[in-house]
Amino acid sequence: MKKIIILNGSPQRKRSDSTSFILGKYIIRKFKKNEIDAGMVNVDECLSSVESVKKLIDSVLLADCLIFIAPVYLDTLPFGITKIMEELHRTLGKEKLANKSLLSIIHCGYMEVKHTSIATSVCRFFAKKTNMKWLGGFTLSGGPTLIVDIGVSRTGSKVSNEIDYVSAGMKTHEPRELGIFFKLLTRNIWAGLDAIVNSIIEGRTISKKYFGLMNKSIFPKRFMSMVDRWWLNVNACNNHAEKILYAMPLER
Amino acid sequence: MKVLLLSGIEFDERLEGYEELVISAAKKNGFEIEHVLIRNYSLQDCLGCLNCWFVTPGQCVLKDCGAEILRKIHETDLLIMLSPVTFGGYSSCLKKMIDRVVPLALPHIIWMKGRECHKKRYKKTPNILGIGITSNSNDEEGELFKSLVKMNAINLRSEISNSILIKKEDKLEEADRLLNEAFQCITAQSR
Repeated sequence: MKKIIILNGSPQRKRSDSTSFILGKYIIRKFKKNEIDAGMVNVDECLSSVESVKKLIDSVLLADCLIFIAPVYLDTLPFGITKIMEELHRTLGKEKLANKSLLSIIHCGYMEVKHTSIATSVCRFFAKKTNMKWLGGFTLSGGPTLIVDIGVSRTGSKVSNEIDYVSAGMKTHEPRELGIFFKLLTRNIWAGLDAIVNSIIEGRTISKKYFGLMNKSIFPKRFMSMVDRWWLNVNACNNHAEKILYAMPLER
Repeated sequence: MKVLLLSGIEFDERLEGYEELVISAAKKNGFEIEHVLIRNYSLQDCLGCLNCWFVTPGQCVLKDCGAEILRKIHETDLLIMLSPVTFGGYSSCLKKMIDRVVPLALPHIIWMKGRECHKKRYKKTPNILGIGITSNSNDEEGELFKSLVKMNAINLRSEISNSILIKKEDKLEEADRLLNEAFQCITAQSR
């Protein structure tokens, strides 16, 4: 493997604390440590001009491996990454993408990991249609609630020049220290990502057990009541009463 | 029954005929149909900011025709999502609008039909009919499209959902028959 391109499908384009960005950054660090050329492209920013799409397509031509990292929006991939997939299929087609590899990392905000299955299948069908080598789909759940914070503390958040195309205006977070409990909860995520990155570097097929690492639901159902409280807290931060949270502006 | 056709077909002469077909089949079945061809609207894509939940609840921060289409989705009884099956999912054109229905939900999570989904903001939710345009060689993708429509219906809290696949190779009469069947099925279910 010589060159790896990570497509960050998160529409939260100006944020360095989106789950996709944190996962992408973690992977890039791993690759850079092994002296492999890896870069991340934010698809939503890329779609803002025709030239940047062209630039992306040119760099995809030179890459050996593509990694799609995307959240689940309404049970499937969000608009941006779908559009880029259509563009790649239309312009490069079967011949030019053949023999490149594709890996997908899909995360969802729900606690159940099964909500990621359709988005992963869409990526698999894309690989099939473009004759790419399908490495597999890595999935995780509970995205925005906790993993983000843990991710920030694990990977740091300083946006540096090592990432291609990433805009300068991203807000940065101070790394936070989190309790051992949360670190224990997410240890599988980092272990799984490490194993996958190592397999890609060594050119081995990725063992199914690594994908399985994340497929266990890491939070109990009871955890949901906690999440609901967290949301009400967010609402309180925005100085809204609970009544406003349930506003119905479309009702005449 | 009020019907809204949301078409995710991009400028493509080979596929535009299907929109006409859906409209005429709906009229034949006594529906009052309105159509939104997303390609004709300058629509921005969802920012993922969640302001429609926490900052301006129920309203999108993007000030464009999305709000108008969202109102139509809210007011309709049956939402038809027409799209070429793209890698088993919706086309990006349709997905742009689908991503923006988040203001119809509340942030709270509940369990429905053994799956997690969000609480609904409004009492009324539209029923859903997904129409995928596919070809003979893509049976697997078609099945994925059907399950996607089913999952969307759970997420949008629709009471009735159905999906059909129209094969490009088939004659228009066959597509017309499938559409009539689907409309009759929905009429029967909603009684």
